[in-house]
Amino acid sequence: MASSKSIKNRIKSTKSIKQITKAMEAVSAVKMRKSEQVALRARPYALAALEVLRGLTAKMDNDFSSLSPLLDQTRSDQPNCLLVITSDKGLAGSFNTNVLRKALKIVNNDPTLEVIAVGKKGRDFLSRRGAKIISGYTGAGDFVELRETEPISKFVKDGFEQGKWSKVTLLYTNFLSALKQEVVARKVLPFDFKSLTSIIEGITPTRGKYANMPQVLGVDQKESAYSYEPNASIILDKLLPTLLEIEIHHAVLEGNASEHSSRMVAMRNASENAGELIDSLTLEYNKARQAQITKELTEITGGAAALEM
Amino acid sequence: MGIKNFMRLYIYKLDKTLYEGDADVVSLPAEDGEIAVLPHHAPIVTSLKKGTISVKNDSDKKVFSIESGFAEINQEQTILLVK
Repeated sequence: MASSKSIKNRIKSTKSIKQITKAMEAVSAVKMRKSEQVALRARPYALAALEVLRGLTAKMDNDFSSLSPLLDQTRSDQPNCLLVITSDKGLAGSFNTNVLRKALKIVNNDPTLEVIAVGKKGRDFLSRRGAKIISGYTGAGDFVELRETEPISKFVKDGFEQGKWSKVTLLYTNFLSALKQEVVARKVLPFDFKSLTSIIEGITPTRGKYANMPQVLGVDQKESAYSYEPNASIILDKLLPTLLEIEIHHAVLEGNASEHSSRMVAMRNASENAGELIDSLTLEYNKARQAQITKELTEITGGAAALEM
Repeated sequence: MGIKNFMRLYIYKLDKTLYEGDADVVSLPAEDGEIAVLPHHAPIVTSLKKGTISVKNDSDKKVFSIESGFAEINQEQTILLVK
């Protein structure tokens, strides 16, 4: 049995670990709530922008893809591009592992694939595995403002407009509730209406406090009676990059909320485990102490008995 | 006269809602020049350039400055997406 001193040391260090994990849990809980709120703030805007786009597409169903390079569905010989969103820091349970497992599968199936990595973990992991990282962004974990994600969307937009890629896919973790997140891969470029709708509808979490947000602008678009000023294609040119920005911004925010919530859960488990460990170590310590006392008593009585003989 | 003489106005910024409510008049910096929107305006979608939006509702007047944006205007409501 270990000496009581070394057990005492272990109890002490386990206690301080528990304190740290508890603090991290509290911090992550606050950050999670914050990123969830931020993600929801963007919802009315995104819905309204989608309405405008719906009106526009209804008006110009003829030869859609010639209107903007961002709508070009016809490319096939350029490499594909994958935008992976992970965190900078670890200790977030299986958050990064889940994303990266899926990313690795995609990377292995597509040798020409180019990767844009958001988050240190994803960048380091994928470059070790031989993926072609063309750009990396860090510090996304605390992004809130649109201008913080703007460089990413600008890079994607410029690259696509220059014809570097035939398809851009976004791989991120969708925040469903504090306990449930799922990794999703969504095609963002070239734009098509269906994938846009699914992304914007995904803004509301399925459960929890914000699940029953009303659809602010669920009105049916009457057959495009709108006139467009100065003209439809100029508006489309301005609207599409905005939508791309929203999409990427939103994916980063979802990723953040998921990161913080899975860190929170991981830290809660760690604190619980630390508590259990402390309990069993305390038991062991008491046993060792009792054994020591018993041993001393036997020695004393043994010694006394020896003297009486 | 059963016609409402005001419109619903929504002004959304990506990270917050700037205005949500009724308005009598709103003037916008449209791409081709300043326009003022009154209730029952013809349906129109336009892009906005840098400038200020001013909203008048009864005696209230509010001014927002924007970088760029879009406006979707129809008979009943006006939606502004701004940056």
